[in-house]
Amino acid sequence: MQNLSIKTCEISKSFEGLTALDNISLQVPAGSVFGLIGPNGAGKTTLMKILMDIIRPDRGWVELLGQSNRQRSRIKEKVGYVPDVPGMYANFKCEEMFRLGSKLNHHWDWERCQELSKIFEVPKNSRIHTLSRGMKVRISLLMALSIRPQLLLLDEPTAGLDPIFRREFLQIVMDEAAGSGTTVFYSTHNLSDLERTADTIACLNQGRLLFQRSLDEIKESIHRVQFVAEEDQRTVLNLPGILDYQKSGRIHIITVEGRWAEVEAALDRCRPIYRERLNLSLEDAFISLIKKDTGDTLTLDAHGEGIEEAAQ
Amino acid sequence: MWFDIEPGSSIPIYLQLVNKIREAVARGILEPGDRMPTVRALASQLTTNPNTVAKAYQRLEQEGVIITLGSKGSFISGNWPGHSDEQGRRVIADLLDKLLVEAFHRGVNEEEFRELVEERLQNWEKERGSG
Repeated sequence: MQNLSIKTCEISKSFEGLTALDNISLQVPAGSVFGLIGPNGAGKTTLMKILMDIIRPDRGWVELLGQSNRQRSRIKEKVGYVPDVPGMYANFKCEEMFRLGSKLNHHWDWERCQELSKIFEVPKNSRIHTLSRGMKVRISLLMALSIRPQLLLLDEPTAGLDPIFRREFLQIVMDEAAGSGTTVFYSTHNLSDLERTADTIACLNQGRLLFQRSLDEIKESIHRVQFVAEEDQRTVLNLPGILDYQKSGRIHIITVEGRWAEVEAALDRCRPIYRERLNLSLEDAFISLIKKDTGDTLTLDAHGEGIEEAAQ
Repeated sequence: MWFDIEPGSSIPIYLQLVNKIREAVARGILEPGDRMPTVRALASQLTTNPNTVAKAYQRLEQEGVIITLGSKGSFISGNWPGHSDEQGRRVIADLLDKLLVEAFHRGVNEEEFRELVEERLQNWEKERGSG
C-alpha cells in the first residue's frame, strides 16, 4: 500500500449549526506536493486546523505520518506549520523567536535556521511587530523548515505577497520537497502557483470534497473546444461530460470532461464544419468544475429543457 | 536549461518537459552523452514539483531518449533507431493525415501543402547542420 502522510477519514465539523466540513476523506501520499483549493469559506483553514489538532472534528479521525490523534504530540514535532496568520510574539526579537522554537522542538536544526536567515535576510535583532507581512511569512516558513519537517502544512502562505517573494517562497518549498522528500500540503487561491508546483489537487466546495485528483489527470481529462456544427444546440448540449457551455453567434464553446479521443468522437457526431481546441488553464478548469457543482451551469434534463436559458 | 515551462498550458508540465527534451535531441541541441540536470536541480530551476520532473525523466527513459546510470546521473542515450519500422511510419502517416484535415479547413491546397513540407524539411536540415 502507498505510504500516506495525511489520511483523514470522514471528518465533519460544524460551528453553531453551520457545517464547515462535511465528511472529508483525504489521502495525501508521502512525498507529494498537494494543493488544497476552494472558494472562500469552503473549509480549507478549518481542515488545516483539524490536521494540526488546533480544533477537534465532530466526527471522523485523522492520521498524520501514519499515527492517529492520540500519539499526535510526538508526530507534531515532525510537522512544519505555517498558519494563515503567523502566530508569533509581537514583542520578541527574531532571534528570540528562533530560540523559543529550538526549545519547543527536539528536531530544531540551527544550521538550517542560519542558512535560511541568510537567504531571507532576516533582521535578527528587530522585533516581530516592526516587520512587514512578507518578512513575518518568511520567518514563519523559516521556523517551520528549521525543524527538518517530514510534512509541511501551509495555509495560504503566499496570499498578499509580491510576485518576486512568491516565487522565492515556492522555490524554497520545492527545494525542500526535492531535497528532503518532505510532503507539502498547502492551500491557496493562487492557481497559477499550484499549476506550477502541485502534483495532486483537492478541491473543497461548501465544506464538501469536490474532487481529489492528480494535476496531470485534470489537464488530460478536461478540454475546451470551440466549434461550428451542423447539428443544433440540443445535440451539442447532450454531449457526454459537458461542464460548461457558451455560445457566441454560431460558435459553440464547450468545456467537457473525458478522454480526448472520446470527446473528439462525440464531437464528430455533431458534424462540425470548423473546430479548434482552446487552451484551458487550471483556473478555467476549476471554475467550470465549481460552477457545475454549484449548479450555476445549465443542467439538462432528458427533454433538453433549459436550452433557451443557456443561449442568452 | 534553455527552456521554460508554461504552467497555464493545457499540456501537463511533465509532457511539456518530455516534448522540449525530445525536440532538443532531434535538433541536435542535446547530444548523446550529454548529462541531464538532476531532478532536484531542474525542479528548483523551473520552480516546479520534483515529482513532475521525475515523471518526465521516467517517460524519456522508457522511450530510450535518456539513460540513467545509477548515481552518475542521467544522460542522453544516443540509442535512437537508425532506421524506421512499420509502426513508426504509421504514426507519422497518422500525424500527416491530421495535418491534411487542418490544411483543408484553412484553405491550404495540395500544391501549397507540398511546398510547405519541402520548405520545412530544408529548414530543418539547415538548422541541424549549423547546430
